[in-house]
Amino acid sequence: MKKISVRTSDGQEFELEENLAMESATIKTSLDAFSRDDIILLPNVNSWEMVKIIEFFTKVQELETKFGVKFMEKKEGRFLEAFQAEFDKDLSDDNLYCLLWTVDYLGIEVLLENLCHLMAERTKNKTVESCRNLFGVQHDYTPEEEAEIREDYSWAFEGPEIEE
Amino acid sequence: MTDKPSSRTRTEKHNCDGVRLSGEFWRSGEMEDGVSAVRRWEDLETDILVKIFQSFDVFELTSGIAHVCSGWRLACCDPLLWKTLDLSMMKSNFIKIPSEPYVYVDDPSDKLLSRLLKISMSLSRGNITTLIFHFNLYVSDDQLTYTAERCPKLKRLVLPGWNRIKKTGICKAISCWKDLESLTMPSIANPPYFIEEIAKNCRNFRELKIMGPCDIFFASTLVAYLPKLKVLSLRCSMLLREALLMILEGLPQLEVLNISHCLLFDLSPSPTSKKILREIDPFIHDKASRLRRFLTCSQDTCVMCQRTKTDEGLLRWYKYEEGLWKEDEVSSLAH
Repeated sequence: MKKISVRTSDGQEFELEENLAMESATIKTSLDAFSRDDIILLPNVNSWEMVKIIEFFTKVQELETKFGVKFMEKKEGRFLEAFQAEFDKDLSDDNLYCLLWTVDYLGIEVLLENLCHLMAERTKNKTVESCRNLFGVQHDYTPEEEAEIREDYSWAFEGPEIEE
Repeated sequence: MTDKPSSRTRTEKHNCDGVRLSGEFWRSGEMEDGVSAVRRWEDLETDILVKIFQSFDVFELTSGIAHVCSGWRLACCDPLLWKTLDLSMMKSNFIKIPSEPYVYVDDPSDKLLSRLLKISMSLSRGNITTLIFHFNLYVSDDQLTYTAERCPKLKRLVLPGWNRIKKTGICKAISCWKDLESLTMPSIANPPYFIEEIAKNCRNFRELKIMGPCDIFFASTLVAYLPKLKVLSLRCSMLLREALLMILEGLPQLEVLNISHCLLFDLSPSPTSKKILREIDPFIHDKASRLRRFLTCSQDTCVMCQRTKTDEGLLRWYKYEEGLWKEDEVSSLAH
């Protein structure tokens, strides 16, 4: 099995098996266009993220062997809960957030779906303010827009519904 | 592993629009322009948010996440999230009363629905194509027309309980749904005004499911107003043989007919009793042979058949498993 070399933003090099590297739409596009002997530079990917991604692929292969189901081929959205739980406890909110971006950029569909699911669970039932903190976003409505939105939520009830 | 990566922070991801985060990647030793598969960071954020929101139900989507910031609001309005609005988990808090409209819905339950509808309509931006209500959700006239006006592209509808809806209200709603193709409705005593409204407004109407008995009056109404009907489901109810025959003979474009678990009966000489037919006779089968699918089931061992019999042809869905009413042997009518 041919190995593909990648270099992350902090200069570390990793070797991926070709079939796994091709799970990334971004890497695949690059491989289709150019020679497989070149190292692919991934300036938007950090080494710790690459480690996590490789960990994911390894885990999938273990599960595929154990259960005889081709998870990657089937593009099965939700893996076994045990797998998800394992991934979840290792990742802080910040790290999960960073990893989400990287995996989306790399175009690894199956992993992205699972990470989005993890993120969704962390986002549900949070107040508006905690959501802002979780994702590091600024409240950017003008006073007029703010008033309009509060009106959306306050119809049929007295006073605004949103917790701030 | 749990340390924040030192070479990049979240702030950088957000603010940076410079070369390093422009979404391009390089081969070693060369600078290449990004190929077509590369996307911009700004797009990534909305894409990810939409993917996350796809696992939210309507309560979570309307809980306030659209209020976080304008970027989140944009993601909340993505059409992908609003193809189907499924409110079938919502039932009114109601009691039955002896006079019209025969149900009384308590205020908080009504207001909760209004709020949900208002925010859903605001975020969905006219993109809803399937709308599902529970038959025990007693929607008011105002709530229905408010919703109808904001779902102009609706193709499939599962109606709520309509005790509180006036004729004018339901007709006004139908007139908003020019693209309606598929409808699940309860059995009603006086169908013509309603079916006629559908015939007038909904040029592409092709599929109907009736939850309740289909008598001669209903059958003749369908034949008169919906000659282009392609799919009809009458499952789990009383069905008069003559009405069945009328449908088979009077709907020339019918392709699929589902009468599974129905109690088929004939009029008997005695006015107080009906003659239950244990089998579908060859004459009926012959008439049905032109159909692409004729779905029947009238076995003694079938649970649904037994239930229809116990409930005397008017299935009391509230007695049985949650969500059972949503099933149908015709997959386009199940949800």
